[in-house]
Amino acid sequence: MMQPQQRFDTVLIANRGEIALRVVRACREMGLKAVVVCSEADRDSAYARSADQSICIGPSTVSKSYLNQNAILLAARLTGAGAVHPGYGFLSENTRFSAAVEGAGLTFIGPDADAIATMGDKIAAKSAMVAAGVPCVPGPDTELPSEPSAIWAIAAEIGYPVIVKAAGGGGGRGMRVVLDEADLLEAVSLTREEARKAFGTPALYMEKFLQHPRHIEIQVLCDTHGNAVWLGHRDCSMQRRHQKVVEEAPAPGISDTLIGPVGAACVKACQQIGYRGVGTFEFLYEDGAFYFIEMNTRLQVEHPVTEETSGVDIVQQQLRVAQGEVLSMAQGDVTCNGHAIECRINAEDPATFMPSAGLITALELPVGEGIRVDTHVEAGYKVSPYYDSLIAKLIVHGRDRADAMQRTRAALASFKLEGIATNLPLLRELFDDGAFAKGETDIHYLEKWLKTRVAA
Amino acid sequence: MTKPDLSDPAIIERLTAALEAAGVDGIEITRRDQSLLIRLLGAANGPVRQLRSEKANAAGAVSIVKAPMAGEFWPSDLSRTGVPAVSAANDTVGFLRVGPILLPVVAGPAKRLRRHLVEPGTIVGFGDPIAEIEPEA
Repeated sequence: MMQPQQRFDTVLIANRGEIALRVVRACREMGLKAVVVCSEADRDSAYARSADQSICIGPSTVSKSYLNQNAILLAARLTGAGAVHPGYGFLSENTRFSAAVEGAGLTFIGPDADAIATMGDKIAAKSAMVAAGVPCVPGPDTELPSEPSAIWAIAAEIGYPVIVKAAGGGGGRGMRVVLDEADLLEAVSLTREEARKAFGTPALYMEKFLQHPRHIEIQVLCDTHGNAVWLGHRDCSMQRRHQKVVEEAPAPGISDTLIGPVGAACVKACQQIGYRGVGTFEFLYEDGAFYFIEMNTRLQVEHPVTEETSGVDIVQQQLRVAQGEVLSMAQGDVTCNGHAIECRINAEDPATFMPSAGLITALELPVGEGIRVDTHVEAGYKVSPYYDSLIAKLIVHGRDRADAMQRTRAALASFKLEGIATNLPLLRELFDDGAFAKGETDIHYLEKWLKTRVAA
Repeated sequence: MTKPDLSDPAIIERLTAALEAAGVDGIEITRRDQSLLIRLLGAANGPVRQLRSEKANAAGAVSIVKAPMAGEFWPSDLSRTGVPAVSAANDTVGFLRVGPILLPVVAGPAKRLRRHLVEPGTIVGFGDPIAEIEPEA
């Protein structure tokens, strides 16, 4: 159902940290008032106080604060907010929250509950993508049957290795790779039981398992008047345990001729499902072919690299679309220039990856042409053990990839953060790696590189 | 079994919705550390929910009453003209208002209000100090 859009002058930000601050900045630039909700752990943070109003809604535990839908809606009512921006994570892809916000007469800055539900169900999403001509991983866009003979037949048709996935899964959970027929039924049985427990539905599906893919994303932006554009592509293959560490735009070595039709198909899919707001189509890319894996119906952590190359302020565009404005650009107006790289700076031990909480005693951020740092921390900030370890994003734009890599090396070298452990030493080392510098590494590269590094 | 936090807005909302659905006009839950009173009242502007929760305070000197949820602080019940702001023992030290919800905040057993720490109409967050209380003489 398409919610009639309404104007608003106050936005409640149902999130924390750097993304809360990012949305505050966009609101301020557009003349909107920003209200930040926070937990007890965040109430004294400078970033929370930088909003027009901040309000503590509960204890530090996320279930009682950032995931507490009722407390957030009460805060919206209390502060007179007309819209809720969910940021990423927390409630950003929660269908019930999207519906509850709109049920309360407020604007949810994101897609409606139906679109989130469709794209959250992997089988429904794949079906919608096939219908729009988006290339998908070989395998039926239907739920896996229970009869062993039918399961064997599907796997044989796809060809081993295959991957069995939970329809309600995501983030690397609820999936199992099967190398040959002998292991198939046991893998299906185990994954089905995991899916039932973890995602509330035992529904599974099966796909071809790609062995050396890259992770490529396409950013889309849609208004409520049927207009949609794609803003270029990103490569997010540098991952550890399915968590992205470095992202870049554009994806190296992929020509416009090759990816153009895929971007156009993504736009068509959005128009077919009546999608509104920003979204990201995620693909695996191997041997010159793209395979759709899922759509994220929210702002992505890595959206700044697309902002830097396209020149489009994605958060401002989200706010404009939510106000019911018509997109100010057509596809022909979108041009991407240069190359951008984002490094996620995490409060974690660079060797063990254990989270590192505590007081930041000194902070000096890199500055210079093409350098942007999105962060909510400062000297004297206390990193809480309650939340995600992401404390800053270093975004660097250069005239081409080599230039962006060189500027990133310099920025990482001058990035000074003391008092807690961070992954800065790891990032500095990674940017000196020859294969990464060359580009086009696959999603397994970082894990292998880390093992080699430990062994050396 | 985990004990629910009776000051959690989600719990209060859920209980209120259940009462409304069942056509019941109130419920009082009392246990050693917390108590909660929800009363559904008719009003000119539609149904008004009047809620009360309290946390027992340890006996001793001056202590602080903190807001159990975010709300607009008022020292007296705005829906009842002439109700005194200052409490007697175990009475309200003020109210938190969010739309139609009015949550009385009480001093606790054998306690009395010493002074308010926020001005009337101030928006307070969860855990913000709103009053000082002291043992009854």
